Amino acid sequence: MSNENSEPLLIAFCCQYCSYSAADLAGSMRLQYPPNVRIIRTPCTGRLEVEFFMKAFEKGADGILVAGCLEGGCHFTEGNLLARGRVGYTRKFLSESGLEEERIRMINISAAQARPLVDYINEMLATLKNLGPSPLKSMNPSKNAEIRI
Amino acid sequence: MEKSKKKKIGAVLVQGGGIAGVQASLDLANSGFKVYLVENSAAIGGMMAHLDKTFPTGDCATCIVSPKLVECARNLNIEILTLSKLEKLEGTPGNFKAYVKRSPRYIDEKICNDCGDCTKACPVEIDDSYNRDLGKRKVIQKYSPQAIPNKPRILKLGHSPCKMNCPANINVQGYIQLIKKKEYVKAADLIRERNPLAAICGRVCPAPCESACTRSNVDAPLAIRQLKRFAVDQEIRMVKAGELALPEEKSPPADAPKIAIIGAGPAGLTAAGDLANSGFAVTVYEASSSAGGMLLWGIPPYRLPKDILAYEVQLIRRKGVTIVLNCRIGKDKTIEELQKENAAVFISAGAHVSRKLGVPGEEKSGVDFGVEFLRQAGSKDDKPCVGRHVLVIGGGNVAVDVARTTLRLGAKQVEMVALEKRDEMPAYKEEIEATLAEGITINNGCGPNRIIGDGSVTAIELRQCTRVFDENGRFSPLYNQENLKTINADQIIVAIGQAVSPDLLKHCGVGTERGCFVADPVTLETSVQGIFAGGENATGPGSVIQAVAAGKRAAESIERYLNGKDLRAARFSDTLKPLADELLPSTDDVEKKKRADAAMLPACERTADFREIEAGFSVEEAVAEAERCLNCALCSECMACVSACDKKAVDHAMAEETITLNVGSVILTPGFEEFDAKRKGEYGFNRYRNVLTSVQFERMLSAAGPFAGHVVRRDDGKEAKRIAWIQCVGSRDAKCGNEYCSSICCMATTKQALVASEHSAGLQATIFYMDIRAFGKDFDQYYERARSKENIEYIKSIPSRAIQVPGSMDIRLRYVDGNFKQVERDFDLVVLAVGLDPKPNVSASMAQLGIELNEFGFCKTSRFLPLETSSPGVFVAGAFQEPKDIPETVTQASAAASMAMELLASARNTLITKKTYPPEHDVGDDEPRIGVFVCHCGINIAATVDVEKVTEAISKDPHVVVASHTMYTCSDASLSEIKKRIEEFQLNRVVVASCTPRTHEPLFRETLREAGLNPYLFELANIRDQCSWVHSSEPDVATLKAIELVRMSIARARFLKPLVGESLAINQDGLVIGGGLSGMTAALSLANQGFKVSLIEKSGTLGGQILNIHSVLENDDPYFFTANILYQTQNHRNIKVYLHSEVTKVNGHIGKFLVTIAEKGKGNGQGDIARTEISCGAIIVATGAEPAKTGEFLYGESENILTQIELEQLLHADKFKGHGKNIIMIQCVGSRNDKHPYCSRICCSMAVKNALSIKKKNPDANIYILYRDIRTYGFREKYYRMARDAGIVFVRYDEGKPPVVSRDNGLLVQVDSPDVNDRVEIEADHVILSTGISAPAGNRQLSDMLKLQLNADGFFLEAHVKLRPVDFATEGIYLCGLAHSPKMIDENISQARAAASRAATVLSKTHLDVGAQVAEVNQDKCISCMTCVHVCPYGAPFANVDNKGEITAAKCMGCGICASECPACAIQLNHFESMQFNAMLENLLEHHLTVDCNEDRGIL
Repeated sequence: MSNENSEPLLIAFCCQYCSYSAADLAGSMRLQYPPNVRIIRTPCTGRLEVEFFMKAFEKGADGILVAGCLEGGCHFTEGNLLARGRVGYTRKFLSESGLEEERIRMINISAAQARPLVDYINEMLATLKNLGPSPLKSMNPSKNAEIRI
Repeated sequence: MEKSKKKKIGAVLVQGGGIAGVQASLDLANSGFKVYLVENSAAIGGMMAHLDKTFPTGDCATCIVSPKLVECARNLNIEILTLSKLEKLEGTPGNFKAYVKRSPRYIDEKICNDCGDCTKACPVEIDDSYNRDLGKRKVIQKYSPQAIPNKPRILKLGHSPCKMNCPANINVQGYIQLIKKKEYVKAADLIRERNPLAAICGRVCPAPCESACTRSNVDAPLAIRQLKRFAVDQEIRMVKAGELALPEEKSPPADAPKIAIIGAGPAGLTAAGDLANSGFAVTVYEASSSAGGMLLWGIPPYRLPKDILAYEVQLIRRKGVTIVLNCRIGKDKTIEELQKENAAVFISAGAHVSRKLGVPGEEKSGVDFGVEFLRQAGSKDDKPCVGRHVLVIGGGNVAVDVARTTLRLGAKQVEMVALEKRDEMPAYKEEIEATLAEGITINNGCGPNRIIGDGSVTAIELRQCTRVFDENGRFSPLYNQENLKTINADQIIVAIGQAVSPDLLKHCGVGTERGCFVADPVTLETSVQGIFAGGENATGPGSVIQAVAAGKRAAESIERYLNGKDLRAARFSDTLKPLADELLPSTDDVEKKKRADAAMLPACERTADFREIEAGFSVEEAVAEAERCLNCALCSECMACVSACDKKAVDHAMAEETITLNVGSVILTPGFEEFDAKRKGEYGFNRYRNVLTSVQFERMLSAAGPFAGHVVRRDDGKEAKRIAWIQCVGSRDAKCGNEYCSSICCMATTKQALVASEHSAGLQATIFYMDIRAFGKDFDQYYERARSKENIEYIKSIPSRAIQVPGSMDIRLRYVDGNFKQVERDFDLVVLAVGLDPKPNVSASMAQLGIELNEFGFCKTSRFLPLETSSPGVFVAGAFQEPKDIPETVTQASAAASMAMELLASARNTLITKKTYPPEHDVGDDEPRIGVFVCHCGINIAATVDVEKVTEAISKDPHVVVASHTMYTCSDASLSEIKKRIEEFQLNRVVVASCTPRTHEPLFRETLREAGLNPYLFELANIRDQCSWVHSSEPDVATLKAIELVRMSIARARFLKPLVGESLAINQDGLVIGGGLSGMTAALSLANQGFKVSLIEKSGTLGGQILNIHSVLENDDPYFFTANILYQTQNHRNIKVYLHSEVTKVNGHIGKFLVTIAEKGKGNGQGDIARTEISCGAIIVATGAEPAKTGEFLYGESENILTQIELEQLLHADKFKGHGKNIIMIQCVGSRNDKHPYCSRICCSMAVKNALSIKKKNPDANIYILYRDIRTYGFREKYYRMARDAGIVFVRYDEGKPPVVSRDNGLLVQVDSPDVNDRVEIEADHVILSTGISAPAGNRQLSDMLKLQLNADGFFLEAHVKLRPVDFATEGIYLCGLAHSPKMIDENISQARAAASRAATVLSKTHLDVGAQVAEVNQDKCISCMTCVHVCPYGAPFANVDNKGEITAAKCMGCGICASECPACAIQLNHFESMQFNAMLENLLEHHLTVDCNEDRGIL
């Protein structure tokens, strides 16, 4: 498969109190999901800056999932609500820049919700597949040609 | 009384690892005490860990409880002892000796790394008690998916009946389970551990195991013998096919002690094999020409084919056993020679001589003898001749074998003669049946009188046998000589029994009795030292399995004898304890399944030759039969887990032990058990599959539960759309002995209904209840939301019964509706809201410890001493004290901890461990030198991810100095290796690629610290939980992903910085705001622990609302209590009381507050105000609340309309004039409405209390209590019942139709009650209003000053409603009493002590380590916008002298919200800096790997 029609790459920012634990639980339960998602741990989704999302898209990420605690369940009172706002802002920015806003999404997950997390990942990957590769991707070809399978 | 002057011990034992035990442990350990947290089950977390969500916030229970459990597990000063129980307590308060019984886990917790391989390998699946039998689990499994400790445990009950009933104690259940898993070779190996003649016994064993099988209570016992045969036959088939090699041929070591065995029968062969295994040089002397004994010469090949015997003899030979054939002892070799040449001799020559009849004519030609006949029939060339008409004498197995053999050798007619009746015959039933089927007739009840014939036999004369055995069961036949008959025959074979060779008996020189050697039944020792005897030559004829057992016994004895050990003590068979009958699995609900029967050759085809008659099972038959096993002993000891565990963490030999601990105090937090719903038979629990308990439903709702959160029915999988909850199942019910209210069920049900509605759109939830007791903080609002907004139907009626609708799985409830009609309604699911029971086994053991229980079986306490048990120095908390919800449990746990802290104040900090580390290397601005360690996690990672490729790929990174992969990176050896590498390669960053940082980051950080590296220079890549485990079918892509994950971690590691948290000096004084009951209690608790406390009281006297309390429901005396606490507070040397004082300003943070107070009347003139500044390390807010005011119901217009508090004053002063007349109490005045949506909690109990007081003085008083829900929760329910019994009338009204009080001549109260058809009108002499409690307006001011939050009702808002009920979000400030919410005296006392306990965790330290993961402001970049100040939930940022933002590290919680919000990007969150995030993103996206299918796979 060449770069143009490869699987989409999804970056999931997961709060260590909820969705990161849920992802671990998915592992314990051996739930299977596609491998083209990369989870990045954050102390709270409130820590995530709009700049991170921009950077990811600029460098060719196909999509971003921001997974915070259930609303009302934030370990730091309302970090997840702030994150929701920032994701909302990013969506607006994306659509104004001609990129589909569906490429980024905020979800709320508790530490026990391994299956819902997997469902969200699948859903998001399906969305990204429909949208096709990010147009910004071709501007940033991968520098790693030497490793292939 | 003896006074103990013994030194106090700074350690506390906490019994019970639920949330109460965890909280108490954390408080104690964090304030300088060593804690032993003793938990009965395999994991801590208690009931809370079973919950899906919690009310009223809807928090995920796992999310909030897990961090506390992890914290507990990580705390150096908390030793968690799971599977343990406090058995005995000796000593005095402050100095106890505690005896703790520890049950084995069978897993070495230190070695196990939670990979789950054992669970996967385990064949035994049982109902999962964690999921309340809704799902299945393995017998080796973790307690729950997120259990702490996260280690599995093996559930063992003992030894199953089949194993116990087998003379050789073969692990039957074990091999059956292995067969189920199609592990035939392992199954065969397991059988051979106890029985080397497995294939033989699989054919000819009488199978005593089967007669003990529990399954016979259901349908029929398992076909165990056939299963055994199946397993071994599979092995033999594989050997023949070349798929399996025979075990290596061994020979004994040259210097091995020699042992001689006489006879190569089953006993001798078994003993030989065992002894050879133990390294002895064994020689078996066999008189005949071939090994096997009776197996060869006695059992015809149609039952036991010769090649099967040869195969198993061969296996024994290969162990290094020498078998000398044709060597008869006494003739070819003497016993003396054997004794001389060998260290021990085992005589197992069997019984091969036929007994004689002793009747005339026995010497005639044509009379043969059974054993000799069979031996000849078994020899290859010299087959015996048989007559046409053969008569076999005897009713045993040999006789049957003889008869059937003659048939196969050509006899035309075969008859048997047996003394016994048919059903008394000693031959096996199946054998007799087969005999008859083959056309042999059996003459029962007669014996030979004489044999007739001239020279050769022609006939036999038989006489009637009237009795075979005498009264004592001894063989002693009686005959009727009158009744004779004659049968013609040309051959008679006598097979009436076998005897030991008289020559051998004589020769051996060993004691004999009744024709057998005398051997000790336990040790098999004979009268001659070094000579042992067993098997048929010691016991008389028996079965093969008995001979095998004798062989095992002999080998065990001989080995002990040669090793100089006691022959009798702790023999193998003595170590096996049978399973107690009550532990056997219940067979009530087991579905019947047919026992598998092996195919047999048709009778007509059998007699032509000696082919084996019985066929083996097919694979399908065997597996299906194995699945019938009920797993009586739970763990089958099949040892599949042992071979699955690469780390060798499984140890089946672990045993129970009792340890002694020295502790100063004990806290009991054993929790509760849910009511057994089976006791309420009318609801059909356990009969109907769709009647669940509330705990089961909670598991159903859980996303991690057996239904993955889907609300569906168990059997048909139908989504449940109509669900009914029935409240008070096992609560408020004198009939089942539980008169108390369980306090939590109303809210729990409301929560479940709400959550279920979220899970399933269009769900109709119906709740049947008596009173809705939503009495806690913010509970009523939650209930109202459920009732009004969420459309949950509440029906005030308790159904009388539930039945399953015929022809469907629906459940039909019968109840009385609002129109007083009996109706029936069908539901998809019915949930029984089961109450809280004290745990019966806990209660029993508590009684043993001398802890008194109350009438309900809970711990006995009093309302003023809610934390003290009847045993001084032993405290109690949680549901064991009284049913209560999570926040109150947590509160009480902290409170109990404060009791222990007071008792042991002098021993604080004496037993705690503090780890010391080498000085940290200064990594400064050095170039990153990164070491990467990739973990295989056994096969958990390596089976999917190619770890070598990962290591190779990442080692190319220019910053990676060293990269390696290890089997288990978390093993001690690997950790040492990491430390070595750090030194060797001067690493300044470490990356481990293994599992999740949630569990393993602390361990690796610790390793870095031990190697002198700052712990923050570590990064973990999660390539197991989030890679290999979830992509197991895509190894290639998973490998690529793993490479990327590790690279991202390396990229991040490059930018990691060493971080050191600030060490903050602590002011060890406390300050309490509010001098009421709570304030005084908190102050006293701290003062008694030795801390100086300032107590700030607004008014001129201490006491607050407690001064208005003149009686309580129980008989306790409030005066004595109040006077005592006032006296103590006023006179305590550590307490300084400031009256007429208010807090005006608060500065500082945890450990270092500066509080300014204003004291009225302390200046020069009257009304002057003096300002004082007080420094303290912690603040407790106990500002209380006030009685709510009202203007409703004509209050104030008549002196006969009073509030409850006014009534109590009058009653106390004996001035209440209402006796003998109509008194009406109105509940919920000004409460539970739109303006004041909360419940004041105390009013129902107060009304009951005052009403009872009136009734006591004047039994003729007519008292009516108009109520909405009576909320006498917990044990207060008893007084509600007493009130009703005393004739007090309770009349319910609806919120929408409140009572009307009017004044005409007197007072008239009118009320529309939904429980009465008509309007009720009562002429009232007195109307008493229950007005409740309201938050003082002053709370607002104080909350602004302390930067605290209030809830909508004006009460202070705690940090977390469930798990931090007395903390504020701002660290160092704590909350208690009515300032938090309305509550009872005992609850206030607990909460005040809890606040003191929490404050003590700060005050007990001289320095506090502030976390290093805090935000920092770059002063140069700051634009002074103060966004950070606004967004921080903790008030950590402030404007400094330069008007720039600055962050108080002590207040920062490390969320990074400010860093993300700062418009100037001036703030960074340490360890989660923007640069670190960006490095990961850039690395990932710039070097993203893709799968290229066109290339040859595997070049990576």
